[in-house]
Amino acid sequence: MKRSFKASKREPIISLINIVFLILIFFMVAGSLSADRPSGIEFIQAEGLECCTEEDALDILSDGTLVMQGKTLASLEQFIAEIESLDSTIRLRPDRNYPAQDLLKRVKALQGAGAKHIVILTEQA
Amino acid sequence: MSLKRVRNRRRASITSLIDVIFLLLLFFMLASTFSKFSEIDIAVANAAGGGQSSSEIATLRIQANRVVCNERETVDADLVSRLNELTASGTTGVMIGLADDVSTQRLVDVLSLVKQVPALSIQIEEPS
Repeated sequence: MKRSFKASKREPIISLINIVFLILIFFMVAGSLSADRPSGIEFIQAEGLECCTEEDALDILSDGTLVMQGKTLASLEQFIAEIESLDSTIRLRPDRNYPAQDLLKRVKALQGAGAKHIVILTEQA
Repeated sequence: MSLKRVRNRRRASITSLIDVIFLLLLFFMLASTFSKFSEIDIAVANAAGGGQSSSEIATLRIQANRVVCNERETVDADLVSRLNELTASGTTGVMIGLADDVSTQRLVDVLSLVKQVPALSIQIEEPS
């Protein structure tokens, strides 16, 4: 008994590294590095929708501020001017508390400018 | 002139290895996210420009905690069965209207319920 205790004197640190390595690999594989998200946004929660899509989108905060890739946009017109083409899918990611009527007004404005296909992004609940 | 450095061939210390691994671990723990995103189509349409007879289009008015479906109040839990009944009696689409106090979350909740009836085409009334 005493001998086996003596032999494993250096083992605890090896098993510690093993476990830390495992956790490291878990986070590397399971998590994904995300672009910076605007602070204070609460995403819409939804279940049963087809998973998954890329998360590059125009964020709309609950007070109506438009944020794209960490940059605040002054207006929807600026967004329309900045994107290459309105023919591709326009992706919006509104805050869950943003009034739906305001969202529809913006969708209408985008459609009026010529957008063909508009989607809103929801987070998997 | 070349300086020959005397290489120290000692084994690298295990402590610094652990330090680096811990740093990596900390980085990945803080930087990674697990949330996944889905997308749902949205388009607004003019209420008058349907082109189909009104018997084929059901009207759905979303309120803060209930839905008025063809002038009849429905709770969310019954909405899918109600829409299935309507589909069986010849309805092909729904026109969705919104009350003023409806949040985007609420709109998406109802939209994903309506999407459970694949036979229905969804139109959203443009805001006034």
